[in-house]
Amino acid sequence: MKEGRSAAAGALRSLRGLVPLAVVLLFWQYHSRTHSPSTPPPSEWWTAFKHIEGTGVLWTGLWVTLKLYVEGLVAAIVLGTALGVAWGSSRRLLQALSPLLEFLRATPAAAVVPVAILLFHATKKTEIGIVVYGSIWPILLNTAAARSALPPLRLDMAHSLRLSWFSRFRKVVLPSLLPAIMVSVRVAAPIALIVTILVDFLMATGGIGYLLIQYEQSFQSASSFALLALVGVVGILNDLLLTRIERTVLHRWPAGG
Amino acid sequence: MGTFFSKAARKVNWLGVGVIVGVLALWQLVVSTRMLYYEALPDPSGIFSALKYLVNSGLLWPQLEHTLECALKAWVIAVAVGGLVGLLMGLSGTVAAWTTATVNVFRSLPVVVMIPIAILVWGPGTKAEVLLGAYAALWPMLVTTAAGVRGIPPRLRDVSSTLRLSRVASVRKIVVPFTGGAMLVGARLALTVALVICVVSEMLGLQAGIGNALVLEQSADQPARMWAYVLIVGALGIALNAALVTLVDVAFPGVSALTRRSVQ
Repeated sequence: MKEGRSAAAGALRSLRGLVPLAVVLLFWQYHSRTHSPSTPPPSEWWTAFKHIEGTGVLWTGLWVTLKLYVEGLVAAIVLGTALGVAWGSSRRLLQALSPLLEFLRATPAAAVVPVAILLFHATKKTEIGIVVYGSIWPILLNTAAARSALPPLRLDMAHSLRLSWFSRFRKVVLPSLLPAIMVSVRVAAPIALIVTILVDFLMATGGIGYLLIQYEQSFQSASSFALLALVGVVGILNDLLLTRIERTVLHRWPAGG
Repeated sequence: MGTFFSKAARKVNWLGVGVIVGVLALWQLVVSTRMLYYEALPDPSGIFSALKYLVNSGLLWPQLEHTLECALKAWVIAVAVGGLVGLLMGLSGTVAAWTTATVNVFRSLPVVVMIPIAILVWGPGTKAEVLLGAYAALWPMLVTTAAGVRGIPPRLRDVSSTLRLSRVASVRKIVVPFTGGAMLVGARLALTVALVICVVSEMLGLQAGIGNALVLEQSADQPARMWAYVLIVGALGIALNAALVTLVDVAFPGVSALTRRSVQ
């Protein structure tokens, strides 16, 4: 009971940190002209939000964006882990491929979007592929590094127990690598979200980013700010969720365990 | 100088270079024999001649200059503001308590959504681009600096109080030198982020720079030139990072030695 109260007090105390944001928004509310063409006050964002919701494109748009984000991130995690394990299992392979991968990693996903559109056309697969390309690097590199640092003793043990390849992977390799993979997912997920919105911008997906560009280009600033705020809320929730998942996973499979 | 180059040559990962050359050769072979055919897939020699064309015709330089100028300006702003606020947040618990949540809100907001907003507010110009780059690059600098200050061992703080250093002197003589490594890491991240965000905002409606040129070549159906611009963006990121590391190596040998030690 007491713990619950102190946790609540702690949460309340950390809300102090939101004061600067609140001050900025209040200042904005009372010092900007109503119907300003570029910086409408926050109260107008809410009206615009209600209006967009009324047209029915809002939740479908959000669904499209979130679906692409999750699909891309999951594909990046699966592919990144699999390739990372394969890549990190041989020192030679690590050495042979690292310059190529370093260069690919340095090429921002955004610059790859036009290339991908021209090559593969604007399809669902291309969209997912771009999100994967943008977010796979931390997962791939971290998994490979963790795999190459895996104590050989553990593999030997699996060998003497005559585990099949699959159960060796599932029971020995994966649990050992999980902390490293989790940390890299924490890095990759925000990147995947950014790339997803970028794909929304550059390919007419109908997602939130696409809607935002439409409102921006028709100078509907209140609607643009409303969507900005919505994406902000999505970003924060995403962050909280990831922290929660990371804590759970690292609790169950602690690093160095 | 001679020893420098022979040392560098020994450090080169020849196997890795071989793989890159092999991939390029395979690509050339597959495309020129039409084993793999896409309308928009040029072969490496086509991309190379497009690159040569862009350099020789002078088309590249104004774009490169614009992007570099914006990215560097954005980076300087981000490093100055982020370094200062990061120091304050690291040094004072009160400042941290009253700002951390706000910083987290802005950090978890995907940066790219700010691009259309900035264009809306400031119009499609250099100002919007620089501010966008600076905004995006601010957070890695701020967060790594604050974390660096918080990582100062308590014993060093004791040293500063034993020596009765004033607040300013303790910041100047203990905090900044110790945090230098973290700030350098933050500055490197910030440089990459500033460059990427400048290029992306050029792609999304600013009428200049490499990002804009890339999108224009896409709509003009010039795949080889578009690929060349993609290569240039990648190379630019690597070159800027290498330049920064070298610069810091020369200017502050102590700091970079410290970073290297903490990395290893």
